[in-house]
Amino acid sequence: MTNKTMFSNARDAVLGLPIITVIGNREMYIENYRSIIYYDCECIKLKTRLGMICIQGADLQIAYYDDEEIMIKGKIIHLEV
Amino acid sequence: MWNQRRLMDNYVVVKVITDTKERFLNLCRHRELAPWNITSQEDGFIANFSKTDFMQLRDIVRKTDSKVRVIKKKGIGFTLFKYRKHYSFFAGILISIGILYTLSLFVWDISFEGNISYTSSFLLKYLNDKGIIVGTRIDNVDCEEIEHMIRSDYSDITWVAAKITGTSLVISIKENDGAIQAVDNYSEAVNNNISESRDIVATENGIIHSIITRNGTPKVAVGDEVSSGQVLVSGIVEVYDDFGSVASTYNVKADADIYIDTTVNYYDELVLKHEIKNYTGRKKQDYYIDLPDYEIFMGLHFGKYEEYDTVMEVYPIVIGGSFFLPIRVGKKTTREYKTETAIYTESEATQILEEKLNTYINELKQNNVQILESNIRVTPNEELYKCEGTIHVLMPAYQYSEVTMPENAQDSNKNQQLTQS
Repeated sequence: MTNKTMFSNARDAVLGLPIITVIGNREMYIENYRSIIYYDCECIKLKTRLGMICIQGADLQIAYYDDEEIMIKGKIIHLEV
Repeated sequence: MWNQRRLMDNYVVVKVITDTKERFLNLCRHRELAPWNITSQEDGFIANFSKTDFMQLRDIVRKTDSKVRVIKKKGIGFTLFKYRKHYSFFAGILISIGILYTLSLFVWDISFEGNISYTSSFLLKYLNDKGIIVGTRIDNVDCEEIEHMIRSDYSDITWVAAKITGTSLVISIKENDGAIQAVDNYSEAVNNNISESRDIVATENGIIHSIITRNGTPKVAVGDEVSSGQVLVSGIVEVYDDFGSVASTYNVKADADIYIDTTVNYYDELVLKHEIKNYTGRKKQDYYIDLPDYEIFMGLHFGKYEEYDTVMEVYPIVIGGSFFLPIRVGKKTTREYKTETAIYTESEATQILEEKLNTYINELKQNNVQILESNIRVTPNEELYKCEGTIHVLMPAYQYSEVTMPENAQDSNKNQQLTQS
């Protein structure tokens, strides 16, 4: 495996980019975030290395969060990166 | 993984009243506190904190100028703390566990499977006589010993398996369902390898219909008339020399299939006048608790019936299918009846006698007896009906017996003994 291939496959780990996983419009996992900027039932804003991620919806809850990832539940309507 | 972990933790549901929710949550994250199920409210948020995390919230609350209100406490630790003064409750749990463990060390049920001619109560009494009773320690029950005992004491039980499941001793047996043959004493001797040879002798008078000899010397042929006790196949095999005289003999276990043409006498009678039970419809039911040595009846009844039947149903208390407890619950039903005299009609008497005859014939057939002809008649009388006659059958009417030495062999033995002395 060349260095170029190795780095292209592990970009999230090396560059610390956020990884967003969405399941339907009910669950969302976000990895590699830095902090919570704003939290409300209808809007959650997270700070990442790329900038800000804004999630808009209804009845948004933070199911759990730690240093590595945050899980958001609720009705997700709009995602802005 | 998160859900399983949270089920085991002691945690609190708190309401945090603050204007800076985000700063509060970021501070929690920074200090490696992990709240979950965070729901935003107008004046703050509601979240679940584990007990250890909750204890570390003081600094964060002070920094963010927040207020924390505990809404619920969940977890086994909080429950135990709540009932910490209920000593009897916890003592009761420990005592129950102790009692269950102690009960699990004993046998509380003995059951039998596969027994047909030997009833369960008969086999249970046999085991009781041998010292195996309900309440015996499981450590003192030797299943192999039980299997050996039953096989050696009952020769027509061909297979025995004893096992302990939970607190139940289950004994599975298979009975011998072969033809009418084999003397019990001799079969026992054969099983114990006491004798290495045997004869086959007839048990009925008749005519040999078929004989297939596998081992031994046949003494009869098809068409010969035989009498009860006569040797059909001898266990002595003679070896002849060139001159036709007996050079030597050796003993074998005679083995053959023999059918004898014979008649079986049948007689049965039925007394017409008989007593019947006329149930009045009145009954009493009692429930009781059956302990190993006595019964505790519940309920009161006044008065007693003059004539009655009693049916008792007993239900064991079992945990998990095999953990029998020494307590059983039972129901005793007593039904009153009046004894009346009745007389069978002609058709009833004939039908009863025919049914008994059919049962007898079916039993013969199950024992490999072929029915050739049946000459049975029912003779009516004023007081009783007789059912008698003969049944012409082909049956394997033989049994095993000790080897009978022939007369010339006995004489030659005597001469040998005289010469030696």
